[in-house]
Amino acid sequence: MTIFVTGHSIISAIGTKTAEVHQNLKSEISGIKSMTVDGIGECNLALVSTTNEELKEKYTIKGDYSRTALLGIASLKNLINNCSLNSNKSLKTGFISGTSVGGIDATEQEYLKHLRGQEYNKEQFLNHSSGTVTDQIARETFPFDITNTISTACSSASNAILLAAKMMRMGLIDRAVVGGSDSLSNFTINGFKSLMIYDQNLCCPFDKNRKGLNLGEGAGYLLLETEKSITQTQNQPLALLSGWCNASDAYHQTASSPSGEGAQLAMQGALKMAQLKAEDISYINAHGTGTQNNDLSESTAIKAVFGNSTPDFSSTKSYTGHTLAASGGIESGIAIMALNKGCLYPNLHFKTKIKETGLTPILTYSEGKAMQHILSNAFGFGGNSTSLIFSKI
Amino acid sequence: MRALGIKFANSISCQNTFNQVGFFDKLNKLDTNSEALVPNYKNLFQPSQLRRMSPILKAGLSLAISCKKACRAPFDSIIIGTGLGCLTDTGKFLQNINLKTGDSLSPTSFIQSTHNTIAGQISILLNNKGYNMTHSQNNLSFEMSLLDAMTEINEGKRSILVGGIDEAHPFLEEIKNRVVTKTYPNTLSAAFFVLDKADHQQTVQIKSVYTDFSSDSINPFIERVCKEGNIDFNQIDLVLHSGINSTLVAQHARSMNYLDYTGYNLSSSALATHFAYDFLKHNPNKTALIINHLCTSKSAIFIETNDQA
Amino acid sequence: MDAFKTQLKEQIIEQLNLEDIKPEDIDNSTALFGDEKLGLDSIDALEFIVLLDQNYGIKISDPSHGKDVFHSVDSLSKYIQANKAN
Repeated sequence: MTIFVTGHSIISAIGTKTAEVHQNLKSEISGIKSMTVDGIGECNLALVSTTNEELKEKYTIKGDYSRTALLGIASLKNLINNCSLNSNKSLKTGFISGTSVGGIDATEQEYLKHLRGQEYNKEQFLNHSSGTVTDQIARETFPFDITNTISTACSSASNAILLAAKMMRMGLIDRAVVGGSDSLSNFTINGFKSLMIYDQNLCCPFDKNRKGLNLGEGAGYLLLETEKSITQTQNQPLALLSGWCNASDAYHQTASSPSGEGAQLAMQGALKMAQLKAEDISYINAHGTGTQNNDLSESTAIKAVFGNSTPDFSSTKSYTGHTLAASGGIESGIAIMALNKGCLYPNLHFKTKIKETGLTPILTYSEGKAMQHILSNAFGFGGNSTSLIFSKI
Repeated sequence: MRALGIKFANSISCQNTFNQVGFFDKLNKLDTNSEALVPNYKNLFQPSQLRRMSPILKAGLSLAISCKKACRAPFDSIIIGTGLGCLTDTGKFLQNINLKTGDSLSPTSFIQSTHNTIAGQISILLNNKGYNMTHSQNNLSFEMSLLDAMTEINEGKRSILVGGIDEAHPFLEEIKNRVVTKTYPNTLSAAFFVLDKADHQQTVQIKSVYTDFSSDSINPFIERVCKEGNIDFNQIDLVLHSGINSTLVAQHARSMNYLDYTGYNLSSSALATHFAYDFLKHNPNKTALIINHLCTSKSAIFIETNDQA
Repeated sequence: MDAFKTQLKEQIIEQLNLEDIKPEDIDNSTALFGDEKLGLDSIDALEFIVLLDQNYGIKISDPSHGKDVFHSVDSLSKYIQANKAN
């Protein structure tokens, strides 16, 4: 069964319209900025530069929702504006959204007040659960037939994409909006600080002297359609989702195995499913968080799978920050832009190769590369490893 | 839809269900003080493992171990549904933020706060490198996990571990009256199943899972389920429901509000499925329907014994 | 010094949540990471950094510097004596 991508939208620190996102990637303008966070001090974060009130006004949102929900609604409304997603009784439409934090940006402050014996707003806790965030996004955007939430940390959105594809192959749905949303929160900012994996400077994925990640926030979604759906909607396909695979590293809760076994299995599985060889891949949008552990593990895995055919690759987290559960949705959108424009987005701030693997990512923006197939990686806590392959129409 | 054969089932609940069979007729209505009957975890885990485990992790990993013991072949897929995830560790990390002195924060509870900690820890414990997924769709987390299992069968996978699990947290008591009207105990609920492509080898099969995300009332949903599944509602031998107000259910010869036996928990339908499985294992050629309307979204799981087994 | 090391072991037990371990179960000179009974990993290395900060005001900003410091109770004790904030 052919799975078409017929739309995508990105809300991130480097833009809320795809043209804007492309321009910033091309101009090497990162959305990561230094700011002071209460209780943490100086921190490099990639914020979406729209407040909650501005989001509510711009996207006509009435509910008192968490920021994760607001970002998701914004992204979906943009998606629906750009491609045809109309009610159609003969098409079953799914919505699968990934999130790691759910509505905690709305509830964490209230819980802290509760811990301190202060008055707090009980109503806010109705915003807390991951499933409710998805329901809220759906309520404000489209009467989906099935809604679901995937919560596998940083691979959530990518897993949402592959789950929808499987549901289509089983005939449960004909089309789906898929991706993820995560906002910044005290919980995650403090959480990654406790892991001591921040870079005090701008992150430099795959660089020998990388110190860690910079957190980001955002929402990214794709519209996937079967042939049955596209015949009715007449949407213009942007790409094919030609392969996917989810596997487990089964090594440690937060660290990836030295050989990157989970990543290897995911990439090999996606290639097998797409019936492609390693040399058929023109570009990898890497997970590339900038941490010592991930980038070594991922580049080891890339070498193991691709060997001498290691394609051009980059981590665009040097622009968007690490958007956690949304990363697979945002970066799939970026990868599809690269595929269609035939352009290579650079990996910022890289200077020196990692000694053990000796790989150099894309250093400068270029156009004119004929690309047929590209790979997108997303790896989450618990060793959750997902790779997706998008192919040119 | 792909029918799922149940090869093994186990649960940890306020009923005596862990490693038990034939318990259905001995189920007792819970009271507000009821607590989960958990196994002696010290018999199952090393102290160095136990020291970090929250209640949800202990329960989930114990059940995963029991499923692995019962079905020796490695699982192709591990799929967990949890409505609220790892609440104990989430609360703990927020408390750490609250009490923070100095620059540093203990990372352990943050690391274990992501919803997929349970599925991830199972993969590490069992050295399982296969498909690993966590669904978190409020009261339908378990049902979405079952649908995911069906897609895995459709993709050619065979042995699938599926669990529905949610833990209690004292804070849920604080916000309880915003969520439920009747008084139920706030409990841990965990039920795990080993599923396979439905064939002659399993006596009990999950035939179909239906979901409804609209705000339609329950009767039209039940009628649609029966029409699509070619089921005569009144011929179903056992109807388990989440305390719903439905004329269809009220006049059914054998219906049971499963919340009276599971407690209020977003994964209680998984436990109800274990109850139904136990009933059907010991009552051949019968059918059961589990109707979950704990929140606005609803689901129905239709289970039957396999005539050919 | 013995009293200090005992107190340090109690702090380690608490910070790492080592249920069923008593101070007398931890040998002063044996490698802490690698002792199967304790089963410590990279998360515990971060917990040691928290212990040093919260109990002694000692900051370690790079986790990789911790390896030698946390090698054993003896090395940890020596490091604390040399670096604790007054």
